[in-house]
Amino acid sequence: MMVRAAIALAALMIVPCAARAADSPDCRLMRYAAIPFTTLADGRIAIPVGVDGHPASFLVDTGGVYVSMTPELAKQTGRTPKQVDRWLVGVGGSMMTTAVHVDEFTIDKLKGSGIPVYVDTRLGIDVDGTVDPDMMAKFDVDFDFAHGLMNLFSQDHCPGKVVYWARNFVVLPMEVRVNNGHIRVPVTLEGKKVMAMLDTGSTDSVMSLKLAKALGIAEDSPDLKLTQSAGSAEQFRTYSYPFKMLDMDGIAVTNPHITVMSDAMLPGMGDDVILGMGILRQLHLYIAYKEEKLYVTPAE
Amino acid sequence: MKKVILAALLAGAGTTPVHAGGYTFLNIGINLLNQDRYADSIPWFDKALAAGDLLPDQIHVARLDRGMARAETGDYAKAAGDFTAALAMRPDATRALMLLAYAHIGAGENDKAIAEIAQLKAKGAAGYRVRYNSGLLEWALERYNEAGEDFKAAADDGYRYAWLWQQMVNLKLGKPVTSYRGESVAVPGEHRRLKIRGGWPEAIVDFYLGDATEKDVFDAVGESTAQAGRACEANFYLGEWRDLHGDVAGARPMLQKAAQDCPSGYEEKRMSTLELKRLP
Repeated sequence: MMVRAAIALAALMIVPCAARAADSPDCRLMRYAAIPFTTLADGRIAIPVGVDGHPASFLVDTGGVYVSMTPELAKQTGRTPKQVDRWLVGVGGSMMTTAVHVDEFTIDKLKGSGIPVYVDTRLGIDVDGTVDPDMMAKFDVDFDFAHGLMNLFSQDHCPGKVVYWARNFVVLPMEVRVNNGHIRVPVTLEGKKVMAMLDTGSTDSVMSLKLAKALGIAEDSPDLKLTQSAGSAEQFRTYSYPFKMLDMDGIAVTNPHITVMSDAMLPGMGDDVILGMGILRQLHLYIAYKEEKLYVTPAE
Repeated sequence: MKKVILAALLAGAGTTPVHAGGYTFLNIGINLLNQDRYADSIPWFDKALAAGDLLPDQIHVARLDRGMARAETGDYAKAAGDFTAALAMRPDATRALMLLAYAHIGAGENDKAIAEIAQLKAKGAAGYRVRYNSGLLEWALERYNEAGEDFKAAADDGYRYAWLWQQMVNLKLGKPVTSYRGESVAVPGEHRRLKIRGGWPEAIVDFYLGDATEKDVFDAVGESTAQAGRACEANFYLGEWRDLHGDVAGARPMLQKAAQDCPSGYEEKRMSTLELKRLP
């Protein structure tokens, strides 16, 4: 949840280099990249990338929109950030108004050129930028969290033939939002069907008070404990609640830690529960963007 | 498929998984740490490391996180041991080096901290984030001239929080508040530039410049969906302003609120705790 788009930027291009080939008829997957990731202190992950030949570490953010980098990296690569017509609003309320064009952006053996990258002054000291759905959605993305690996596969494969690591798995229909590339899947929370957005850029899982009420949690429930309150009308509130179970069609997470936020704190977020890394890290996820399916097993 | 149960927070459930490995324990520890449940998280990092099946990257984060939890519970010596081990695994880990310096400050081993700050500065001469963080460490050591140099360097690179800290140093040293470069952008499709106002932390900047009141700052907090972070920052920087102007009685509750309410990961949380210890 690092960055929310205000308006779309021109599409980024990163394409597989010479290794591109037709998938074999026996339905084997074509793996373009196997990327060992680094785990940040808060459990999120970052991958090594190359920006105009400079090695860098970029946060993987399925809840973001566009690739971004720090002003320091822009400076190191000799790029002067230029103002863009389309601004992005960061979560902290900052405005991202500048971007640079990168001649060469590499992830493992993949190479892209002429890539516009937003400049974000709010990134923490552990990362140099973010990789977001504008780039990831051109591939199938496989998060093997327990083994420290993010794989990028070709999207051209036999339907449903992607789970190479386990015999038993869950497959969920997946909606990819056109305007931001966010991934939504149906889950069952407290026995009721809701939509969940997968956000590797967020440590925590969150949901609106409106959604909590729809799940049958009354605002005056003694279990719904106010943890923070602010604003002139105390309209910005966070709550804890002892959720019992989040079920992904057969894979259940017990006692999921999901923060409930007053609706004023989640404008425009709809009725989705946002699943952050606290929950996602326990899973092995294969995101088939083109097929619009999410394949899930436990992480171990 | 047969239903598979994963325990997101075993500590809460009061159960232990039958086939859990170090990775499961590590996840529990990280989740507890992210909820600021520092003491609760430590045994899970212990279990994760004792399991003997973590990847090197996972051992690194287990060490780092256990160190953070230990530092938060006041066990600076053991925290320093964890950070040192994490650094040995990944010598380029800037965060581990910073945390090690904080642990040494907490333990009163200032000489070691000063040496680590020097290493930190050597790493990132061109980077505002490193200079900003080394400035915070210098401030924690009450080396205000050194802190001022770091904050100025970071502020000159356009980092607005560094400008605020630069002014705090100026006030501490009896110097005037310096001018603020601000930020402006051309309005798309129009031949004019717009000064970005209302963008956080501009309200606090305005306050330090004498162009806004405390009420203005808290009103700006109230309009924000990112209020938790903004309220934290408002309390911290306004509390510091009061302290720097001799109003200790007014500063204390604001710094207490910042220490209590700031999201974990905000440097204002750590620094308000540290500042409270110094108040007479």
